[in-house]
Amino acid sequence: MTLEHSTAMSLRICVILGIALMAVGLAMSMAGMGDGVLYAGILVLITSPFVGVVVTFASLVRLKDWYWAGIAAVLLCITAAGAAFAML
Amino acid sequence: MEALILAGLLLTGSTAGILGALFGLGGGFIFVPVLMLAFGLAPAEAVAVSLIGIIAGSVGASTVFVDKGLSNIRLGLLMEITTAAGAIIGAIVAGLLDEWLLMCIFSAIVLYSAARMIMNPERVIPPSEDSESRFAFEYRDEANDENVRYEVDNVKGGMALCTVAGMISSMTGVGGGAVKVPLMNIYMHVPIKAASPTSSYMIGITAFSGAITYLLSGQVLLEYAAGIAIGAFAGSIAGTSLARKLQTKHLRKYFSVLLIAVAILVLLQAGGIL
Repeated sequence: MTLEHSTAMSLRICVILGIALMAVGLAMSMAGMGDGVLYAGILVLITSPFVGVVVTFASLVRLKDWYWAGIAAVLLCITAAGAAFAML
Repeated sequence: MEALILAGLLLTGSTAGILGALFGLGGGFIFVPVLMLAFGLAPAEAVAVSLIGIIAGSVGASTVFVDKGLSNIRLGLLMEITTAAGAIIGAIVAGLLDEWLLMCIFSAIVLYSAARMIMNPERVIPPSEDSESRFAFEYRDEANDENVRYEVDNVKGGMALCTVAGMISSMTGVGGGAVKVPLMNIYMHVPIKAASPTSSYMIGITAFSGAITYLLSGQVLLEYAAGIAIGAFAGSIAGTSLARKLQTKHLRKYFSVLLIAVAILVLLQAGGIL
């Protein structure tokens, strides 16, 4: 599987799961059955770009494309630091 | 939530999703004013819901663009490093500059970019046949049924300008794609049919930090976010189909018009009219 296919596949799985959970959660929430599923769907959706970069990093390591794997690793660190900084 | 409000959210999301996928924009310039003016959300609530919609549109478009090789993942990762770093710096120094001034600077940059894109034809640098540059790439142009090879120029300068773009974006809440697409297309000579999808891919990563913070701190109106996100996802899938069929010259022309509209919207926000 190429870098592009593996990254696209991870994004597709996350976004479809997130959207499906949100659709079910929205119906449940509007019916007064709580918003736990809705929250889970939004969480899955939000994390999908980060998951995509993790999969890209793993694919680049598998391809022994060390320059770009290093770039992906730096981005993962900065993104995680940015999220941590924003939560302070 | 009333069915009419849900329909309005789905419509808003799908409109922004289509435009986002076509032009590599996040859609915040649509989401935030519409959520505030039409749905009565407070600014912080509108920004939080907008970030969820931006991610849904970005990831939705990327499922197609990345798979087709139109999003340049490697270039996106590289430029996202300085964009994300700029966003962190922007958040730290946000209180030092007036927001209206930053919005005016942003609008000036966007208007300049639009003028350049209208007046100058696209310039793509084809790599030599035996090029071993790590910045030589290729994508399939489905509209013309041909493979397009290009070499990214001014990489260091582009990364530096992405830091500025990230700073302005995090300080004003607008601007990711409206700055990055012209930057890649005009300055780094990335074809717009690759620059827009690459920007779409990057925007979701940029929005991740802010969105997760809003969600974990309980500031996201969940039903509004879901309505916008579902619409943005559907719109983005439709937008990818349109984007792949459009000719480059048309895509640049429409993008320039949209940039002018974005600049006007941001100026109205800076003036307190929106």
